[in-house]
Amino acid sequence: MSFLRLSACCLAVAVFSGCSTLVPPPYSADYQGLDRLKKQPLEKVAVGTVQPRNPDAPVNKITLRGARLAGPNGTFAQYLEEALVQDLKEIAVFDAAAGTRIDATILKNDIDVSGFSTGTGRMDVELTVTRNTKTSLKKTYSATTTFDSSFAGAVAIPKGQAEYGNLVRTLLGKVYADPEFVNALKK
Amino acid sequence: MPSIRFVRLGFAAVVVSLLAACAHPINLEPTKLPERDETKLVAKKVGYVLTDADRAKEVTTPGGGGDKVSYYPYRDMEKAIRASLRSVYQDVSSLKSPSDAVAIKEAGVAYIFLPEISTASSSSSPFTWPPTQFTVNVICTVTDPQGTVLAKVASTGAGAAEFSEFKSDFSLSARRAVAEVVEKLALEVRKNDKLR
Repeated sequence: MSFLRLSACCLAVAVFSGCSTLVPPPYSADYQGLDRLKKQPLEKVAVGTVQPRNPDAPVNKITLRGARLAGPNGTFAQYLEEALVQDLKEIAVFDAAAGTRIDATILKNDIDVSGFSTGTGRMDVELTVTRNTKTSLKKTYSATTTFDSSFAGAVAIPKGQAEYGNLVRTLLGKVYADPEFVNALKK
Repeated sequence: MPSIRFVRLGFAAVVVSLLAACAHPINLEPTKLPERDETKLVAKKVGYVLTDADRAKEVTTPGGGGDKVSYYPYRDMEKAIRASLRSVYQDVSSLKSPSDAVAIKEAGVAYIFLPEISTASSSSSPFTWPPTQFTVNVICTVTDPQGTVLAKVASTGAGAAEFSEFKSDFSLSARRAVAEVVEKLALEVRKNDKLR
């Protein structure tokens, strides 16, 4: 039985650390922050193509103890763009043709599960709000997260995988709570 | 070389015990959300209560091969429960507490939903840890803004996934169960006359 158990554990490790690409879970918002934003009188807003779109850009590559984590549609830039659009639709202010637009560029993007007990996430994004060709906000937002990790890769890797959604949620929660961002979108 | 064999055996035992002691994390984000048809919405604002303690609650249930899985049911299912209510009502807001009169008045909600989530999981596989069967129950106590209970709505979702499917998504049975439970929850809310 111990041989079977060892084989099963080895298989689990192999599955997790093998050559398959992992994707983060679907994005879920910080709804309390989003509901606070919903109460503000905001302009309709579009979202530009979040950069960088090159899948080989360093910010679009995350490695979790040898396992590759990638955006579900190829890049983390697209993951962030879809998260932004999803949130703005949720509070009914998204309009792809609006004269006010949010653009964003990911500057740093990493999940680190190299530690045996704690993992960390870090994301920096430069965000710009443009109103009819005039820039009304240009600011860099940073988010860091920490989470319980493990010596075992079979636990640490999926913990890191699951954390990516939380990292994006934390970053966008900071953006939505920033009075400068709210003012840049206010009617 | 009995000593090398002993070291190998000892190392294997350590690895097995370390892995066996851990619960494998999965997520409960649904595979599908209830659809919102703007022409069929009840023209009311409603709120749902999730506390920070709810969101931080981690649950551990059985997986396969004697292993366990862990997840955050309230945090992971918030989007799904909200989407379920948004498929019925015009406007949905989150509330931190059912007794926060100021926030409730400010939100202007007609009904307040207090969800209770329970889960169970199992696996028929002795070799792989992801659950092949997952069930989730949601019971919502619904009150008016003064706290009077108007109704209780309940739904159950079950999800199954075999190795050939979950090898690229270890949470698949759970995600299917959540998709089913929130779809059924929307139906239960819609057919309850007290909640129109």
